[in-house]
Amino acid sequence: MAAYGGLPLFAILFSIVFPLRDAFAEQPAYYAGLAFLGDFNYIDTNYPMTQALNAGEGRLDRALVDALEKSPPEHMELRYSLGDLDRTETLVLAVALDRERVSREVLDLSTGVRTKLIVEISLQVLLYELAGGYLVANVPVSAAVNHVLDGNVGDIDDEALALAETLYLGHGGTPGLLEQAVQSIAALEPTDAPGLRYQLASVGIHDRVLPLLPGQIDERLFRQRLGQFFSARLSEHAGVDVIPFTRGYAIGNQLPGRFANGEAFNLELPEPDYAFHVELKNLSRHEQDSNLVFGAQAHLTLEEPFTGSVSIAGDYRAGIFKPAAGLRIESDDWSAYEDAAENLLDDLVTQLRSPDRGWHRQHARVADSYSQFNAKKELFND
Amino acid sequence: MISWPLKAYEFIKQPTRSTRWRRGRFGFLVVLLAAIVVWPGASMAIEQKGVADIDAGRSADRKERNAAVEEALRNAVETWVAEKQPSQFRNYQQVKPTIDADIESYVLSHQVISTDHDRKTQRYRVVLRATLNEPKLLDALLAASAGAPSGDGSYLTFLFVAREQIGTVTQSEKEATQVKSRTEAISREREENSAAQTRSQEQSVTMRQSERTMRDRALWDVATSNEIDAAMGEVFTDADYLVIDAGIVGGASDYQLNTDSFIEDYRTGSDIRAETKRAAYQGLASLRGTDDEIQYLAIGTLDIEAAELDDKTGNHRVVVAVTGEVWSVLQRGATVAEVGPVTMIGEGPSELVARNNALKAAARRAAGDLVAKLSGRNIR
Repeated sequence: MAAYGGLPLFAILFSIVFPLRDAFAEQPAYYAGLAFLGDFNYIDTNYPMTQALNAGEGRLDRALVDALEKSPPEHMELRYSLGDLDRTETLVLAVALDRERVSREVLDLSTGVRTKLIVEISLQVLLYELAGGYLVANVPVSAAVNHVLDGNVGDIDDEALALAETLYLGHGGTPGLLEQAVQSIAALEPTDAPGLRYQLASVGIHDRVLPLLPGQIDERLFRQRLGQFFSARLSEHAGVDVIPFTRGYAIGNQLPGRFANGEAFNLELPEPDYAFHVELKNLSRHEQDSNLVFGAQAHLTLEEPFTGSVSIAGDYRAGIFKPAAGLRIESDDWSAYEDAAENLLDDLVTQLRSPDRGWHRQHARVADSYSQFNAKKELFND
Repeated sequence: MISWPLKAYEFIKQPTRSTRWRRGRFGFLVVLLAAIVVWPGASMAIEQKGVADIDAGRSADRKERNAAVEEALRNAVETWVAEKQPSQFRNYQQVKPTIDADIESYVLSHQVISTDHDRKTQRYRVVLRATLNEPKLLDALLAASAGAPSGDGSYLTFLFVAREQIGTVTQSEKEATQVKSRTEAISREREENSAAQTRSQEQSVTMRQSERTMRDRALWDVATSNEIDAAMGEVFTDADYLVIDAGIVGGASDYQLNTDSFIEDYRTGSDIRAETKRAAYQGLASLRGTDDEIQYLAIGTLDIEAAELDDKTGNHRVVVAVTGEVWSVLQRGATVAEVGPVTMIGEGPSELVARNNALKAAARRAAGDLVAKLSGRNIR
């Protein structure tokens, strides 16, 4: 190493580069606040409680900003100003609402009739590369709370809203979802090496599933929910760059709104390098002993869209159970069906990274399923 | 409160990927420093996939793998021209050997998507995604015009008018016809010893009514637009044309090139009238041999549709359709390039942003296609 006046050349360069390394490490991300995943016209259907809680002065938004100011991110600079697309700094951070679910069941217990209410809210902390059109990081934060009411209570809206507020803001020393999201953001480390891009390109729902959809959920909405779920799990478990299932309100409107460039709204999602296709073929329900078993069957394909080459293709099935079937006077089957479908998708994503021969023997209907997954697992491992 | 067993939910997840800081050696740090200094803006790079399939023997060695990657990069550039810049294809064919010989200088980076070595056929295939240096490629394509003068280009003026629908007139027509018919029945009965005669008359009137509904007639507001002028001017200027504002040329041509006439024609009709076009040509032709000579006139129209709300994103969405053509003033007004109708879409949080995005996209697209076609005819 050359020396110069006693100061090694390396040290000179090191002192120039190291501050730059710090600046590079402190990747700025523009803050987009609370965002809503899915199509704009489904916002009211999907997230009525969050909208009600955030109406007017944006109580949830303010709580989020307050918490972030108290615990700012450690590994990136969070900017509350508007970004500029032409400056190559196009990371956006949002706390995106993924799901609100309310489940109501009526049970006949030895102590009398009771109404069981479960409220579940799922968020995703999204770090999104806007110009590139892919998720850099995605951390799910979710919680559920259950509540039991005396008697058969039909109108549960007020109770559900109160429980949702508790979930968001915390209660009795237990941090709420917003606080947990902030803790996730604090620990988030942005990657500086974009890799291959994956996308769940299509979700199909077989005709035999459609009659099971409850009134407020149509086929397109259900497809979006499954698409969002799979994409989030893929980003989280497989650790790859994921193109969102749909542009929707968050990706197409709220995140671009953090940039001063009008062109930000015209950015399209890029084509994936690898595309998944899922077809949900069946949802089933049957009693087994004193339990209710809900099953899901789906077809999964992984292809390279540019060449059309298919590396994974097969039918899969999995189930979940709900205990104490006999006690139910009114049952919320739809929540269980949805859980069954999501459980299957979750398993499939897990298998991408770490295929297990036993799982495939039990859940796959294709003989060489394990081999297909094993041949491609290096795509999902660093 | 009774607690029921719940499916396990995770409250806090740690990210599964850690920051991939490369603990590089000295040489890498220098490269990193250089990369940071010269890193191109995000808006300058575009992506295109490419594939290559080459002979590789029983096992593909490093040289063969690199050769396959280079071939795939060439395929990516050709695919980009064919799919995204079709009007430049003639230029591309002229400069292809130059680009192919130095392909890596036209590619900013690439990501290998898949590789496959078929030992039976002894073919090695690679699929990759390339980030292309679009400005450099476009420069090479435009430079393909043989005999193009270096430095100053031709004088060009352009006049594009945009019209926006501001309302409709509903029309319908009703016709009624009256049909009268009279029936007369006379019957006669004759009996022995008596005669009876009856006569009856019946008169009936029927009304027949028909209705004709015409398609609603659109009402247009027409104007030139700063967004269009700026976007088009930039494209023509970057292609080395000397752009003269139509207002200046109009004055020099004694207002035979008349912006108001173009606007009025497009407000009331679907195209610029022949008289307006003739006057424009004659005005520019009259400048031949003078200091104000203009070689090319580009004219065109843009239709701006009413904004809609996109139910997916909640953005306002505006569609713009553009057509255009370039005349050669020195060649009796011959049309030397045409484009469209091309449809471009703009989105934004407001109608204004969406409209501007659509206009800029349409103007750039039209000007870019015209420049490419002119270049293909060695006009620059």
